[in-house]
Amino acid sequence: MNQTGKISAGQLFTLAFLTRIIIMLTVDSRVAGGKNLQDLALSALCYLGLNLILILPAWFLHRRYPELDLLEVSGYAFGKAGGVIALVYAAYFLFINGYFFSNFQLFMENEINTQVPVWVISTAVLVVAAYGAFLGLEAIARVSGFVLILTACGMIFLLVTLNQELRAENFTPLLYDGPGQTLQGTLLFLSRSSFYCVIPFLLPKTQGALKCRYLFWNVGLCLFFIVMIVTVCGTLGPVAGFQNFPVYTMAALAQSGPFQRLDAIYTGVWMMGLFLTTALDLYLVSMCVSFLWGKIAGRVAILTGAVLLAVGCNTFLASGEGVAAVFGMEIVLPATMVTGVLLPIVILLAVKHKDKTTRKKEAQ
Amino acid sequence: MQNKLQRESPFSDSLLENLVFFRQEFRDSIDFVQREFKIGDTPAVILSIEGLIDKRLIAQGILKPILDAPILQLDGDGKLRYIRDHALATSDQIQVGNFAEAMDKLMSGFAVLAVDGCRFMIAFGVQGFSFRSIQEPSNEKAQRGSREGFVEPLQINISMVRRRMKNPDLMFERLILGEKSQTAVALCYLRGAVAPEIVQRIRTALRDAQLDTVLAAGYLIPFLEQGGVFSSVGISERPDTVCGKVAEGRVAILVDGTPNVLLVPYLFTENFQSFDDYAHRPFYATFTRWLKYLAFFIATFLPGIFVAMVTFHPELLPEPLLMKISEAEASTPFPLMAEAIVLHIMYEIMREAGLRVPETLSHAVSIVGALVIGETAVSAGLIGGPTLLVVALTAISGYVVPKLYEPIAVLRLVFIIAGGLLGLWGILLGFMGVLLNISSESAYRVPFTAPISPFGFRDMKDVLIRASWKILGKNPEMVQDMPGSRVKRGGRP
Amino acid sequence: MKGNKKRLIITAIAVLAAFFILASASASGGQIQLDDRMLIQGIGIDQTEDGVLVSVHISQHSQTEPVLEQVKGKTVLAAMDALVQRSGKVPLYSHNLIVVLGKKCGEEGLKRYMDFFVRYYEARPSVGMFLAQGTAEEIFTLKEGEEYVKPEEIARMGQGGKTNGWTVYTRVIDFVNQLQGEGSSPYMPVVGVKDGVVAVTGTAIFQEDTYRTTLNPEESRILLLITKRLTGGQLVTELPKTGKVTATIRQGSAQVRPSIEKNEPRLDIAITCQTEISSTENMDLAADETLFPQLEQALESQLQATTLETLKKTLREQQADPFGFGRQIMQEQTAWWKQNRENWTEWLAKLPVTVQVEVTVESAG
Repeated sequence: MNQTGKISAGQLFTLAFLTRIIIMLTVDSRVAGGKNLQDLALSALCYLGLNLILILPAWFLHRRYPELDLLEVSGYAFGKAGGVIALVYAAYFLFINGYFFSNFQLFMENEINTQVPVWVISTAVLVVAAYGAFLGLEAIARVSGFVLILTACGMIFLLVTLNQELRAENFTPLLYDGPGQTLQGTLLFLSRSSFYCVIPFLLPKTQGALKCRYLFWNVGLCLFFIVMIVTVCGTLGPVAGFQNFPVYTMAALAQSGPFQRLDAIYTGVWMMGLFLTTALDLYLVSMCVSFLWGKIAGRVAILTGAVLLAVGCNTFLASGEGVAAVFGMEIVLPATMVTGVLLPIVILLAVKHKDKTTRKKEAQ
Repeated sequence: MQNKLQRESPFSDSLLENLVFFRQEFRDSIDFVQREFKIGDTPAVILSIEGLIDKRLIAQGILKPILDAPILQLDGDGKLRYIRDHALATSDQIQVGNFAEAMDKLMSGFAVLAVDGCRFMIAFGVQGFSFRSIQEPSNEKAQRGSREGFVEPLQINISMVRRRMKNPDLMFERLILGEKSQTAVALCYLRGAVAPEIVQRIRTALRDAQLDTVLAAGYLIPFLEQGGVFSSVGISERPDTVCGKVAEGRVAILVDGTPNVLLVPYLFTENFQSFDDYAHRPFYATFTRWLKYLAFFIATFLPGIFVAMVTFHPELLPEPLLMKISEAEASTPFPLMAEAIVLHIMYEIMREAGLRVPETLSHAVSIVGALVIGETAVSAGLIGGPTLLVVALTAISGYVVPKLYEPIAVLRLVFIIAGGLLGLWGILLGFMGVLLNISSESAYRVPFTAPISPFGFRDMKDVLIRASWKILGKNPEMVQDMPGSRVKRGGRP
Repeated sequence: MKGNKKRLIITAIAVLAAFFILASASASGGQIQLDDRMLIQGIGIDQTEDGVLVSVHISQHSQTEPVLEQVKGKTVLAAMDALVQRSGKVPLYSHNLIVVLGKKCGEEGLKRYMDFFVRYYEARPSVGMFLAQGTAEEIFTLKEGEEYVKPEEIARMGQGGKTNGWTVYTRVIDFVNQLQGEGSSPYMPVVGVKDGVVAVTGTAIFQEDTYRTTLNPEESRILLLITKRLTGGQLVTELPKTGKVTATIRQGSAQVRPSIEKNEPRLDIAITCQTEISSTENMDLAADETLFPQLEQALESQLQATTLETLKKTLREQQADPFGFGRQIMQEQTAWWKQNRENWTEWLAKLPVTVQVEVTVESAG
């Protein structure tokens, strides 16, 4: 029997997988720090190892208080000051989602040239995502199950059809220009790992075998990255280094019989992943705001968050320069590390201290 | 209110007073029959509603034995007890103690015997109303299953279920719903299989339903489901299907006067399951199961995708196909989206007309439809051939999954508009919206989208494939055991 | 019931928002009917005094043959804009099959013409590229019978190399990869008019983006062999006893082993071919397996000679590396490559290459 409002570990990590793969789909030489995209395979391996370590603060926090999320624990540890932490996380979730959303919007404007205004499409995505956030975590988690099936089918079809396009001469030796790009790639993956922040919110709402699912997810993600990078480099060759969205260009080469120009699959997968990410982030924003001001405020926060994203992504974030200025690695990486790793450590230490103090008082 | 109080009150020992009440209630209704007679010197009466009873049964099973019986008791009470215990040849007799019970029995086709001086009456089951003979349900035909379908009388439907499930744990619980219609409704479940919480919730939901009349099973559906694009209440006209579902822990709701039986909880994947699936061999059943999935997607998405691709994403179409469509669309005056919507609406009009047209005129309707749409509209250049082909394919595909026809018909139009205005983005976002809607639904605390999401690998044996009965029979799927289910176990139903 | 009401309200708001979005989309007028689109199937580009001449083949549903349009402009896109202005239709590049560049464009350098096909959002990287023997206009205006040569026929000629082993097929992405990638020179098939019909006549070799020389069909086959793209074709040789013998190539491949000796690169190329006899001039001796070694030797000599000639023509005379030897050295001898990549073309002129050819005749057909 499922406990009230809880999702399964499988659903949690399905969500995690789908929200992470949009990192891969949007990588290019500019953010990866060089045109040797193959080195990102090594970055993926480093990321795999780091994932196992950097998740520990959130894991220990969960183990200590399995039924309490991070906000509740911080409220216990810091009292009213814990509200500040809720605001920090709410801001972070909006910020990181703005990063992914603006990337998507840039892609739509520069690569697709849709006949429909981009703001209409992005508003539509936000409306559906807000709808999902309103319906709650269980609905989002269940949708992720369907999306996983569709994504898996789409990506497998894409990769199988691209198999014939792989050429040995397209590959560049690993670490050709030194380890710099590997390091840059690892930092890029880390900076986009908003999941470190999501985990301490969702673990108390999850039941099932968490450890082995986490490992499975981690390894699966790494393998996915590596397969995608190898396919991109093997099919596109040096051209990949000059593309804004190399995975999209790669998908444009895919063909199987009458089915050609399969970049629509790529775009569809990205959109579904983005929708899930946005819905989840808006839901988490509402969690933070509800913690401070109650359920109704939480619901209003979903709408407010969606409006802020719509306005931001269609104004100052509508250009590559705007995106680079706001979402440069020097801003995103510290933001993710602070909220995803540092704050859980601080809260964990504070809680340990508080428990010790409480035990001392009780002993006296 | 006063009437209600009077109905709840026990009988008087004066037959005349009791008769006055009944006459007031029925107000000289021409079908209210009062057969007065005497048992010795004691006045007695048999009350019945003409049309509901079998007069011969009353004459031979009740009147004659009473009149022939050597009843020696002097008081009315003693006489009735003697008649009840010794004289009658009827099998179905119930003692009623108040007017409400007596009225209920009269409406259900019972005859009620009242004797002067007696504070209780006896109701006899002498139903003899006319009803439709048992036939194969037209909406749920099966190649290999039985040819019996439910009919209108509740009792006969109950008997059809009972015949197929000879298990003392099979329970039928009676409710009376509808302030004015006082319709009998039976909850059918299998003790031991059903989760008591589900029965309790259904019982509460039905009792809280405020309805004047319940003339069809569909009246109760809004009270049983959460409300979403797809219904979480199933409907069946087949006793074999109902038995199968009841054995899986579901509750069947039989409504007097309608052959449709409601089944709850009902999950999304069940829309693709039919009785024939389980009668055919696994490989063929799996093939037809996947055909249904494909048909569902074609019926719902194909027109929208076609409109989206031609209008916004022609690069996805191979060049020869693109040329054909371009040639067809060049001569039509309307944009493709408008064409698709008009065609669908015309099809729906014809379908509705076909449902309600008298049989003698059905040929004329077919000819008009075929000529108007199929021939004239295309040759006049008002609509394009490819669009007509897509609509025709969609229409036929919709009937492969008849249980989903209603949402398909509406969603199809929604996706045409979304595809025609936003392209494949619109289709995708509409699809996500629908997914969200069904994913947020629960059928009595069982996720509506189980076992696809939350995923249950073992349950795929009846979703992805239709496994052999050797496997299905070993671990039957109980609905409350679906992944993600929050149904509490334990307790009495 | 409370939960149901909440869901209902949320759904109602979402539906209203959806209406607003759809209304906005409708108002934006983004729908383009198919008939308002111009389906471009082939693009030809020739250099003119003050810009380019673009010849375009457009498919129309009412006609079997393509329609020819020619426009001038300062750049390719400017010329296409002029075409849009003239026709009022929106061009659809996604079904474009071929790009034919005039010889003059090749001699001046192709980079200025290629950018459109790489950068433009609708242009596909899988479009076939051809260099015209003369001008692209010649190819696009030629009528065989009453109709223009369809772009799909020209594309098929290039792809026919899979069967005949005479022609290479280069897509835009292949060309750009060879151009931008280290250690390779681009190449593409040459298309020309021969006896009044359009035919692929050889392979154009480039150094950087500038046309250098053309390989004939036999030399093109060597290029296919060494780059492991040969999957068929016929070899013809002559023996005293049997006369002319045609052997069909079942499988052809080459192993290229780069090595560094005394800080100097060298290449050892081992070519293998499995063949079967398709026809001879002397049927009686056709099945005589004692002739197989002679035939194999003859074919090996022939192939070896053609290989050496092709290598001389490309590496020595033009310092062009269409075979991707440099790229292979980059992959296998990375340290040496990093030191010497800047002057790789100078190395090409003096690069020692040994060629070993092994042909096996597996059956008499």
